[in-house]
Amino acid sequence: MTCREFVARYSEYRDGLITAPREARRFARHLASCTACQRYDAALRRGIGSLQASGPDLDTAFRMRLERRLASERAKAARPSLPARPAFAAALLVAIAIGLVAWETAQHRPKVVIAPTLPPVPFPKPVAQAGVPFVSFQDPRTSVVSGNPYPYGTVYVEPAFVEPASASSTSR
Amino acid sequence: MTMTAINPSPRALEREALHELDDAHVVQRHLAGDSQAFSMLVDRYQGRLLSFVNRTIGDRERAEDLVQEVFIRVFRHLHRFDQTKKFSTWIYTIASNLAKNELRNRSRNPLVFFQTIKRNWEADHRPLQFEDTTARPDDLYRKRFLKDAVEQCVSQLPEHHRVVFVLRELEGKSYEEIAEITGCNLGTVKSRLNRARNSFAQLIEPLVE
Repeated sequence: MTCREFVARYSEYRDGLITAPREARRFARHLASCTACQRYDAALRRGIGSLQASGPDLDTAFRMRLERRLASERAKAARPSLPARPAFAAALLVAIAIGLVAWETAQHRPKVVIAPTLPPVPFPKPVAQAGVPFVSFQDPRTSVVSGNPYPYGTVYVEPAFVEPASASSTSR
Repeated sequence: MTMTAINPSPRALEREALHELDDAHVVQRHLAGDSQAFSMLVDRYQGRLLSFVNRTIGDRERAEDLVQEVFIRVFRHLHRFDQTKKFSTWIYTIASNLAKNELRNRSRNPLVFFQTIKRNWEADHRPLQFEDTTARPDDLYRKRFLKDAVEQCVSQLPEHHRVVFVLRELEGKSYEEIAEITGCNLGTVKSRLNRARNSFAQLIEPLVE
């Protein structure tokens, strides 16, 4: 057995978890022959022994303080079970608020004015113009102002000239 | 000549009877309304819990406050305790959780570093008059030196190793109990304990030679 193996499984050995007799013998043999592991084991045992010997001293003040707190807990437990105070207070406040709102509403009910119905008014009948909708590429502004008020960037387009039907038939 | 026999009071007899009972029965007596039963539980656990919490958090005054809190919580919630389980495991779990919370809060609040300074300061100025006067001065010195050294070594262990180490070496808890108290699995407890022991041995070895 190597020292590394001994240290790695030292806890099991110390706590008696190595139950196989052969393994336990291996540990015991190594501990008996290796001074480094003996030092390790002795240091640990001595340190822990010293720790176990020194416990904290309890003063009477600690116990008295605890007894006072326990007495207050006992008194609290002995009291008849009432609803929790904060919850009870909150519920009471909500009930009062609801009551106030209801009372206020009943006292000052707002008057609702109903608007009078107006007499029916004849609506102008829309006039539909039959025919093909007029489509033009002419700038509509040119029809408002004579001449071209925007000479730059725009093109003045003369309205198309349509020969009257009677004139075309006579020429034939 | 007449002899007057000193009869112990019924209260003392009751207390004597409580001494004989194990934790589970004392808990049952408390739940049944025995006013002395809870005091018995406090008697049994106050020193052990104080030692455990003190070594876990490294601050005696705060440890006392936490142990008081443990007993108050136990008193409030004992009726909810599953009596098929071990009482000692339950009470140590409460103490361990409170100690863990304390360490977590401390890491968030750097102001408590003052406690460390205060602790060292107290160690230097501890009065000597309460020591055992029958022992030789060099023995006293060696004993005190070793005590301080081992406490220092324990405080140097990482928190999760320290808890396992203290529970095993000082409180004598089984691996299963430690696993239940710390909320870890058995394998983790074993490996943490082995590492804690190795670290402790390495720290203490040069000091005890």
